[in-house]
Amino acid sequence: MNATRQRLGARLGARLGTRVGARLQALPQPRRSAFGVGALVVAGLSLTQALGSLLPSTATTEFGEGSQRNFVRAVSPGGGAVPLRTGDLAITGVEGATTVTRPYTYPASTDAVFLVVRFAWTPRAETSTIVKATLFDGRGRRFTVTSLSAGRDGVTCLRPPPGITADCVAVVEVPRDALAGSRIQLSTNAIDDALDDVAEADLTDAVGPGSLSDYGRGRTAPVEATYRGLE
Amino acid sequence: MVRQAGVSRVARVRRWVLSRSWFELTTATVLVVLLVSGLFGGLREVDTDPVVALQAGQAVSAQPLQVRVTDAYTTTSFGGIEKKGDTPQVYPDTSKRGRFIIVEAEVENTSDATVGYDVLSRAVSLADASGFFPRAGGDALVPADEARPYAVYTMPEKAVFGVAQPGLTYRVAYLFEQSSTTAPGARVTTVVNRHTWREDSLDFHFDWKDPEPQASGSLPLPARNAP
Repeated sequence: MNATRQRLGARLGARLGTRVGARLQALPQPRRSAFGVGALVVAGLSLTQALGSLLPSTATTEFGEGSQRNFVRAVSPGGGAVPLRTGDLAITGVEGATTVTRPYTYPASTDAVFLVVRFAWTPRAETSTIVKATLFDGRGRRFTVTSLSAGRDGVTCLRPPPGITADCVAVVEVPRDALAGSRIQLSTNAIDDALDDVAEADLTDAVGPGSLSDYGRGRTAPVEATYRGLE
Repeated sequence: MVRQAGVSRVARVRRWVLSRSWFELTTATVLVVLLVSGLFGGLREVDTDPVVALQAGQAVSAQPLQVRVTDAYTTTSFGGIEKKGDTPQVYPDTSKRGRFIIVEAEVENTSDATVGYDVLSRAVSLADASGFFPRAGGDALVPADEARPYAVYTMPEKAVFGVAQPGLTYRVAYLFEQSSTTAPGARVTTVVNRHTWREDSLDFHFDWKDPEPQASGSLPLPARNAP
């Protein structure tokens, strides 16, 4: 080992200058235990990297990925209610329209299509509501609306006390090529979906099987939120 | 004598430099390059895309949007719609402190995800003018490049332009409020800004940030006050 290091030092000294070669030769001689420590360090770094891939990453583009991914509860349009952490949600209808009307606002029309998802929300133990809807299409695009961003499209849902059902509407304006293979997620938190379960519905059957180029064309959909039984 | 002393110093420096090993000289050179370039933002590639000329009706690609500015004018009252049948009345925005400079545009979201109000409201701005009210309110006037829109509406329903969905084009109006103490110009410099997709240094959330001019041009600014 020592002879090897001296040979290496001499060879490098000839190339780099005697000063560098002398310094290399003066370095402490590594022991067998030092290699063991090095192996342990490398093993520890590998283990840390493997664990890091399982933990939430700050480099992801969205919240709710990795171990913080959403708890998705599948719900069928027209089917029964699905329990989320804070309440029960049932999708009562899906329709398309090219005009939507809201109380006290001018009707909005589109050359694309408004996808209108009607749902019932019943908080279980605390006052809560659905504030965000995200539609994923078959092309990897993501259409998000919230109750705060309500302009042409958005989520309209009252905030009922526990045990009272609110009839709500989520309107998402999408190009027609986004209808095929789309699914929608409804959640109670607009910032971080991980704080509650998320209801997800596959809209393939609800939107099809007719011609998507005519889906909802010429129809007007009223958008209004109310408590069930009060409409 | 002075020259001899100078030559002597140069010779000493030269000898000192030549006596260094190549390793020390290379290290010193790298350190000097890093330190000096650090004063000007480092050795990263600098985006030097020029600001292109903006013309009315011309589509400008400004990530994550494509913006086509169609018109610019001033008015004191914007966007009122009379009640007709079941259609409710839409109240106009009326400037009590001066006038609105309206920039009408068609905005398309060319990205693959919804774009929010912060990006949409800063996609169009003004320049080379003064006397604007800041978005936060108050009486202190700011120059045009610091002014934020009083409101951004989708037209003709006059809804808040809160989100733009991918693949869709919206007809919108940007309202900038200018004080009556400032005379309106015959033209207005209109700017279309692009954004950069990057991670926030505080909450590590990715979003479109840092609006920078992509296109700028002077447009006629007629007055179109309501009768």
